[in-house]
Amino acid sequence: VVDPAIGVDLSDLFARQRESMVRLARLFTGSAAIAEEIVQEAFLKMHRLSDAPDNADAYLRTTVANLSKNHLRRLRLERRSLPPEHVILSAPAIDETWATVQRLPFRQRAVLVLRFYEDMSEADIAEVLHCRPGTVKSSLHRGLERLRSELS
Amino acid sequence: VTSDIDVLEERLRQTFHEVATSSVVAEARHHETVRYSKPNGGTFPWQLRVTSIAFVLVLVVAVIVLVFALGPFRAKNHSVPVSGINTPEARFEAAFNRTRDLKNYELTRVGSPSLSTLYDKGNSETISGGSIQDLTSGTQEYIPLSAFPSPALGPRCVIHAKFLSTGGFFGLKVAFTSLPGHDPSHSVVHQMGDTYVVTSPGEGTATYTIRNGFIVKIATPPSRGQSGVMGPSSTIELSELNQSMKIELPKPSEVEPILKAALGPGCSTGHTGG
Repeated sequence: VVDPAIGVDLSDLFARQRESMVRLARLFTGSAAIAEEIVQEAFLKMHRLSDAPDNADAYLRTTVANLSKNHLRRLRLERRSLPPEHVILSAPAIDETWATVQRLPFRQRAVLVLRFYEDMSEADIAEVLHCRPGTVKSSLHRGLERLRSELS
Repeated sequence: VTSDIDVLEERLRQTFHEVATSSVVAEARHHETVRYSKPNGGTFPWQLRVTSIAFVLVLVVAVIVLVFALGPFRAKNHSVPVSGINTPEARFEAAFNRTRDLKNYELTRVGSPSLSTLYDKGNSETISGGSIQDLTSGTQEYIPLSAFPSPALGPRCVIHAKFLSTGGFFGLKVAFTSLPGHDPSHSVVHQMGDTYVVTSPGEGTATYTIRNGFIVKIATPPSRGQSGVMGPSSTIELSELNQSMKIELPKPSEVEPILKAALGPGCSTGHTGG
């Protein structure tokens, strides 16, 4: 079904991207429940668009990243009082790595996720995160350095 | 270094994949954890919830305290000074404080308020016992004061003291001392509008004195009784036992000269019987 307002087949986009966007948002936020809400909101935002984006997939990914960032910023104080998240992983090393990733600032975490989970280029990451490629490069470098120092 | 980076990147890829595809069962528990952090869900972490409840309780207690401190109780005390004071002693003192302009009288307490004594310093008299009625409170409460023997008064006496608000004045209205040898409890002062009717079981002359236009003191030396209009140093006689005596109170316009006269030296001629 093509959304008459923006000329985008939202059903097709939803079928193709919904699961991957949920996983991406989950890596951004650390929560599947919140990720689902964010992806749902992202699709709603696309539905409300008056003009069709040039690249619907990229626009959706950017929207998910922005919503995740806003959500984490909004919940920063509340998260301090939340108990640690419980995610069952296969190996202690993976668990330790994920815990370290969660302690990274959002931009560093997002860059790592987009780089090593989405396999995106630094230019594409910059476009998604609305920053310069140099910022992506430095964030990637700092994130890896911090991971290396904390995991060593 | 390249090998380390490759190992870390591979570890990151594996971690992201594991987390992104971790089991729903594990996430269900995680969902319970993060459910409270929904931005629009209306729920909060339990710590915040407890804090909110405690804050609301503190607010409720503060409001109640403010209502009691600044509310109708305080206003009531201001509008009607005598009412709202619970103990008889406090009520008696509050009522008597209204007569603080009566310079010649002071309240001497002997033990409890029921043994309080009105002492007329100007005449070295002591009027003991009686009851005080605060008519301004609207409750018509009597504060009983037990009569007791007083050397200055003779055997016994009874005071019926009434505080009235007439024309903006407050004061001790009537003081009545009974004949010696008679039961003072039978001496009654009735108010009938602006007129007081005093009934004495005794026989003799009643001398009454107006102080500040409001104090009427009636002594009862043995003689025939009569009725009289109140004024300074007026004397009435009681003709027979249980005879009623009609006393007409002064009008507010007549109060001022009476008050001046009462405050002057030698204005009191009241004496006790016996």
